Parts: sequence; structure tokens; C-alpha cells
Amino acid sequence: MRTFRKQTRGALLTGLILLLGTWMVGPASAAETGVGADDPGYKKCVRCHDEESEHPVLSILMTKHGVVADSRTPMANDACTTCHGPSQAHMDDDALPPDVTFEEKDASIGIAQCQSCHNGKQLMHWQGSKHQMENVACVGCHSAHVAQDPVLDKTTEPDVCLTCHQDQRASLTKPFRHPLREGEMSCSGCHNPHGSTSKGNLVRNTVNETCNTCHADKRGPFLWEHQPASEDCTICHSPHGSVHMGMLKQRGPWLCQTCHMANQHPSSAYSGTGLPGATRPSGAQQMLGRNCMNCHGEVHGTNHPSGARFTR
Amino acid sequence: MNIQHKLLSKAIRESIFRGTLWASVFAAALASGSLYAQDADVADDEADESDLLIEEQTVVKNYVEVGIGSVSDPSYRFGRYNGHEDDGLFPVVNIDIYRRGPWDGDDASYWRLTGNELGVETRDIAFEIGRQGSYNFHIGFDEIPNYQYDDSQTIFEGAGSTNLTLPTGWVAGQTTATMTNLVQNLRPYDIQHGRKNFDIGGDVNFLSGWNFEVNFNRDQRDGTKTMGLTIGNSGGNPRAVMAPEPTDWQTDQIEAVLTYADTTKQLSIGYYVSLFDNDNASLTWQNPYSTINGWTTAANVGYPTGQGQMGLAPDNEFHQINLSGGWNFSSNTRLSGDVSFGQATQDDAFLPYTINPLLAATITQPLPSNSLDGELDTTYVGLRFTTKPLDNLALGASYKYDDRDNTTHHREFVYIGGDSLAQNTATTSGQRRYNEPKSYRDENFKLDGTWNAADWLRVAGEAMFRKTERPHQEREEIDEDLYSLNFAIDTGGIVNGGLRMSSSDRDGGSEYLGYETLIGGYSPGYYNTLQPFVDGYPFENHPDLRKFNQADRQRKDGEIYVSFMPVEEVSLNASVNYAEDDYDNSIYGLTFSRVSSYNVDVAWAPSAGIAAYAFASEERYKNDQDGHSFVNGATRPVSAFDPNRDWNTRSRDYVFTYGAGFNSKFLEDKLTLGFD
Repeated sequence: MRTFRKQTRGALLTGLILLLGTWMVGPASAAETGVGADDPGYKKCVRCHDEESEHPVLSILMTKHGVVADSRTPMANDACTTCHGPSQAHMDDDALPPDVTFEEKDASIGIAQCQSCHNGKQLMHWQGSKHQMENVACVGCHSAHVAQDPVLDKTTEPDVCLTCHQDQRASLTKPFRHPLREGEMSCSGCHNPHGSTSKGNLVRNTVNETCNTCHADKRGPFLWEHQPASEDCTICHSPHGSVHMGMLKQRGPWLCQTCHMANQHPSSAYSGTGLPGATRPSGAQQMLGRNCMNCHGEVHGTNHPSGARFTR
Repeated sequence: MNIQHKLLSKAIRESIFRGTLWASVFAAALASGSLYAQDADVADDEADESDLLIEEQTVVKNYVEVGIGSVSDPSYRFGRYNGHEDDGLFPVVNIDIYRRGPWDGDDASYWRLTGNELGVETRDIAFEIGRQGSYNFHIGFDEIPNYQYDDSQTIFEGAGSTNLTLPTGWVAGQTTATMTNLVQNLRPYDIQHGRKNFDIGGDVNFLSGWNFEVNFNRDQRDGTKTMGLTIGNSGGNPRAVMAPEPTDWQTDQIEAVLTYADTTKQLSIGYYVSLFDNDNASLTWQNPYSTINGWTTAANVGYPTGQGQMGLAPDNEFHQINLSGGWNFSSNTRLSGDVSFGQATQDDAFLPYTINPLLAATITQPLPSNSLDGELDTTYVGLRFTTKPLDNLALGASYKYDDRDNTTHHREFVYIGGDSLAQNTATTSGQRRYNEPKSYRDENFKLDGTWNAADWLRVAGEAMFRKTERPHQEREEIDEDLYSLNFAIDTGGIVNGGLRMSSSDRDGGSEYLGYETLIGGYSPGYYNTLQPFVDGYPFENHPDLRKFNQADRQRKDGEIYVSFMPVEEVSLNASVNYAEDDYDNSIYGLTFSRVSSYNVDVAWAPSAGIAAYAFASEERYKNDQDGHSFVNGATRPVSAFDPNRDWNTRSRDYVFTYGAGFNSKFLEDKLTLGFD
């Protein structure tokens, strides 16, 4: 059965590669016919948007977009008008905006401009993504005219994301959380804001594949598997932060008891009344320290032959 | 080249040189200034105001930041991830040296050296070099500390190692109350670990639209974390200690991706491998407790000879082939998708059933194999089709298939409970167990649409149909339908906002059979002894329990958000979020949960370089859970259904978060003051 499965998977993979290879024959050539920085469009723009302009634009020359020697960049092609369009009306009357301002109510106008170049790799699933459906413009997150786009810097990226994701801002300050506030992680370490086919726009296909990039110790496969841990880490954990140890959704032993109610101690009612100095009947050891994990220490799964109950 | 253009270029070159000199003052060894040394005599003090403005707006800034910081009080909580766990002074060292030719030059080569917090344990440093549009090579190092407890103590010698022993003269007891020299043998031991992350890689563009990228990442995690260690074989006789678990882990990840992209077609083919290596296979500790009832007396499980051995995370590998693509059939229609095939394997040698030699001598049914030979095949397909039949209408359809096929062998093990019990090979033994490789399959199909109903109103909706399969679990198959509706109001004026709401119903599929994992994981000789039977089957968990990830569920969630911008310098955002799960067919287990949050923030930016913000948030978590306490033995049939043994837990967590900050730049952006 295993051999058959492997053969089927292998045949499917080979077929896909051949199909895609066939599809790729004769790819269209990328446009490389820019007119260079001497284009009149550039001259016309800096005539007003010079270093003293109320709306300075020269800082784009500090960015990758401003490198003329890279034939793909706006400045190597039609300069400002590559992205903003010929904008004749704007030049005739500066009260009118350029053809493309990237801040239109219909974000797709500006996005189409950006996507004329930025369309591969992490941007492949933009169309139909959550942000695209919410009419989020590229400039809603990116600053194309500054030397260091804040959303591309690990330490400042969360500030950009939290502008809209207010509920996550609170989570990221909780006692048990990932180190985003310290700049040691960023939102894009786990999420692809440009969209992906996975749940929550994750950078890998599934929740566990994403978590396992840093927590490979919990990947297994184990001899004794804990079903929810194998299925989806977020069944028990709140990855954005929690007030419970280990970023758990709820404190133990109650979290464990939502699924474990065998006779004797798993089904007992636990409260604070059995703690040291108090009177039984409630058992104290299940409330203290790591609660259920005082004994069931390998709750994510274990390879110990005597670990059927995750105590080894 | 026009005159204006030349002027600008000259000013930029001069400014780059001045930037180099400035950096050199602070870090002569780092910034040689050789790249533009030939222009040194051009850098003069005659630049007029216009040149300075041009320089300010166009020249890439280099900086070396050197300073001293101070922490007022020691705190592990404060320093958990930022490395400032001790009080006192600490060095501040940050660098960013960026070298490239003039923007209008004929060479797109560059290199950049960045380093952050180099004086403390959160340091990271990265170097990249390349030619823009052609190739890039990068190498980097990053450290992340994790200080967990500095007030922890342990009785063990060898803390941090894989062998924990008790001090000479240890006085054991059946409980800590009779360990008469416990307190004097407690010694401080900090629980902390850290990650060291090294990466190297690069990419190259070739032909037209093609790119090949390869990256290697090594993540090393060393230190300790806490682990509960127990000796005992049932809930009635465990004797546990909290101890430091040594972590000496290394994860190597390599990903190579070949990509093609043009304006209508994109494709990538990649190979990803992740190799996890743990230098520690087990953690052994000496039992500080004296023998108690329930442990095999003749095996000397208690102090001083008794030991326990915990299995630690096994080495494992994951390999995956990834295909991604997108195709614009027309300007309004696109199909994109991901297809992945992966395989996770794990074949670490098994530890023995027990480390206790007297118990090991009782083994008559040995391990069925020397290792697991575990293999898990994963398949993922994610497809997305979008089209825009009308200017104000976008439609989409998605399909997702996530399959985890665990092909690991299903074998019989007669385990030894917590290094404390002789092997029991009787047909009725509860220690005769079968490993159950867990497989999982999730499929969902989604239809969605967005309609710009008016210039100020956007309406979006989706319908999703999901089927989840969990072979050999309580609920082998379950279905879920989800519907959502969003309204977004964008007036282009001072007030905007929206409303999101969704509802899902998870039910159907197969019947919830609580006994599935019992009869799959135990021998018939054992589970047939469990009384009473319900509907002809025994039970381990109470038959009325419904595990919440497999239970029927009605979910409702929603959000209302408003943004208010009375003037250009001020913005105010507020939102209310609500999510409610009603497990309407669960008698025991989680029956209801709700999360609601109220958020407000305000930002003020009166001019460039000045920004202030404040935010506040309140979250309310509600979990209702019902249970039933029942016992083993002859009274099990009665106690399992005695209504007087019901219990419930109503937990409520309230979280308040608030903050404010201010940032301002002075002296032409050379001085920044701020607080958070």
C-alpha cells in the first residue's frame, strides 16, 4: 500500500512538472525598452517636485526603485511616469492629481501598477487574498519613496501591521508571547501579507508546517502522538499571545480536561480548595507548577516506548 | 543628460562621501571611505542650501551608533527577550553601512553591512552584496535570548545536564513533608536558553524573468527549560519533580527555489528540507522519593537506587517539493495555486522500556523494534480562481486539500509505567498498548465575491464548505459550512468604517464514537474488562464527553470598526471584535467560549518627524466547561452516571492593555527623542 501511494505521488508530481514545463515554453519576454532617465517625464516632474517642493519626491533615488543601472526600475525606464502615468492633466494644473497616485479609493489601480513588475514569489497569491479583497493598497503598508520602508524592517514592521490589526496589538503585549516587541520576530515571519493559499495567509502550507520552522522538535512523527498537537498547534495555543503559560488558550488542568475525562484524576473537579494549606478533596498537584504536565511532560508527543501517557 | 540632472548627481556623490567621513569618525575600522576617495577634494563646505536639501532627500545615510544604556532594576520578565535581565549599564552599538554607486551610474553593485544591538544578547548582524537586478548574496547571524526564571531552585546536582543526581546525604520521603533536608539542599538555578541563528544564501536572475534562490539557515538552541518528571504508574502513585530540561538542539533548513515570472504567468519550483538534531536523547534523574505503595517493591524504585528516564525530542527530517504558479487568463481572470508533497521521517533508536535494571529484568515481551521507522507523507493543494466580470464585481473560488498520511507501523508495546512497575504482559494488562499513527485530511471549497455597490460602499461575502477526516479518532468525519458578509464604508471623508460578520455550523459527517481511541490503543483483553458498556462498547473518557476540536459547533464572529480623521494630523480608530463558539451537542467538555475585545487608538502627527500615539484595549475571555467525576473499580458503573458527580468550570479572563508613545526628530533628523 505504501509503495502504491509513493508511486501515485511520484507519477502525479512528474505529471505536474511536465505539464508546467510545457506551459512555460515560449515565455513572454519582459519589457526592457525603457527610455532612460533622460526621459522628458523625469525633467517635467522635478521642475516642480524639486528639493524645495512641498511634496518632495527625490528620496526615491535612495531606494532600489531609483537605480538606473538596473534596467527593471522605474528610473531606468520612464522615471516617475513609469508608475504615475503621463499625468498631463496634473502638469497642466497642479491642483489635479497625477494619473496614478496609489491612493485612489479603488486600490486596484495602484496595485496594477505595482504588479506590472512585482508579481512572482511571495506576491503570486495577491489576487483574491484577504488584503486584496479588503481593498488594501500597496501604499497602505509600503512607503516607496523613503530609503528604508518601515514595513520591510523587522523591527518596525509590526507597527505597520498593528495599525489595522488592533486586537493583535494587545496580544503581543501579553505575558506569554513571541518576541515581536523586541524586534526579534516580525509578523511576516509567519504570515505572508500578500496572500497565500493557507489558513491565515501563513508562509507555509499549514499551521504546523509554519510553527515547525522554528519548533522542529515538535514535528515528529512520534511513536505516541497527541492528536491535536499533530493536527494544529492552534487547537491549544494562541500564537499571538496569552495570559496563560506557554501561550495556551486556557490554563491547565481545565484546558486538558476539555478533552480528557477518564475515570479517577482526569475527571476530578479541580479548584483552588486543594492547594497547600487548604482542605481536600481537590488535589493540589494538578493545580500547581505545570499542572497536568507535572507528570505528562511530553504532551506534544514522545518516542519513549513507555510514553503512551506522555509521562516519558 | 540635462543640466539639472548633472547637478543632482554631483551633489549626491559629494554627500555620499560626507556620509562616509561622518561614519568613519565613529568607526574608522568599518568605513574606509575608499569607494569614493577620489572625490575627497570635492567635498567642501561651499554646498549651498539647495545642495544640502538635495543631499538630505537623496543620499543613502550610513550610521554607526555608539552609546550607553541603563537598566534600573534586574528583572527576568523585562529581559526575557531583550537581554536586559540585569540592572546596570549596557553598550548600545548599531551600524548600517550601505554602499552603492550613484543612482544614475552605470553600475548597480552594492554592499551593505547592518548590525543591531551588537552590545547585548539580542545582537544581529548581516552582510549582503550584489548587483541589483542580477544577483544577491547574504550572510547573517542573529541571537535571541529567552530568560524564563531566575528565582528557580533545584535539589539536583548536574542541573543542565542529562543526568540529575541527588546531593550526598539526601533524606528521602514519600512526600516532600518528610524530606528533612530539602530546604538546605535547594540551590539556585536559572532557567534560560537562547537561539543562535546563522543564515547564508543568495539569488541570481538569469535569462528573462527567471530567478534561482537558495538559502541555508542553522538555528541552534542551547540552555534549559523546565520539565515535569514523574516516577509512578497511575494517577494514584506519581511522585514528580520539576527540573531543568537541557536543550541542545540544532535545526538546519535549506530551501532552493527556481522562479519564473512575467506579467501574465508565474511559476516556482522549490525544494525544502528541515533537519532537526537533538544532542540529548534522554534525561535521567535520581528518584528523591522513597518507595510508596503501587511501585514494585522488590525493584528498589525509591531512593537511593531508583531512577527515572524521560525521552527527549527525537531527531527528525522533513523534505518537501513545492510547486506554485499563477496565470492571468485575461486582465480580469486569474488562476493561482500551490501543490506540495512532503515527507517527515523519524528513526531515532528507542530508549529501553525502563532504566531501572531490576524492572528491566522482568521484561518478557521485548520492544517490537529498535526504532519507529516513522514516516509521514503530506500532500497539499491550494487553488484560487478569481475573475472580475463587471467593473464593480469580483468573484472568486478556492479549493484546498491538506492531507497528512501517517504510514508508520502500528505495533504492540507492553510498557513499564514510569520506571516503577514490573512488566505486565497479561492479556488484561492496561500497559499492553498499540501506537496509533495519526492521519488527517482537510478539504474545503470556498466561493466569494466583492461588490462595489456604491462609490462609498463595498459589500463582500463568502461561503465555505469544509470536510475534515481524522481516521481512527472519535469523529472520523465532520462537515462545516461557513458564511460571511462584510460591509465597508469608505466615504473618502473624515469617517470610515465597516462591519464584518460570519457564521459557521460544524456538524454532520460521522457519529462521535468516544470509544474509538480506546479500542484502537488498548488490547481487547483490557478494554473488555471496563464496565459498564454503553451501546455495546466500553469507554475510557466519559461517553458524553465531546472533544472540542471534533464536536458539533456553532460559531459566530464579527467586528465593527470605525476610523475617524477630523484633521489630517489626527486619526482615531476604534473596533469591537466578537467571537462565540457554542458546542451545542456537548454535554461534557467545552460547551461554550466567547472572546470579545474593545480597542481604541489615536495617532497624532503634527509635522514630519513628530508622531505620538496612544492605545487601549480590553479583552474578555469566557469559557464554560462541564465535567463529571467518576471512579475506577466496582463503583465505576454507578459513579459514571451519578448526576451528583457533575461539575462545571466557568473561567473568565479579563485583559487590559494600554500604552502611549511619542517620537520627535530634531537637528535635521540627527537627534531623535521619544518614549513608549
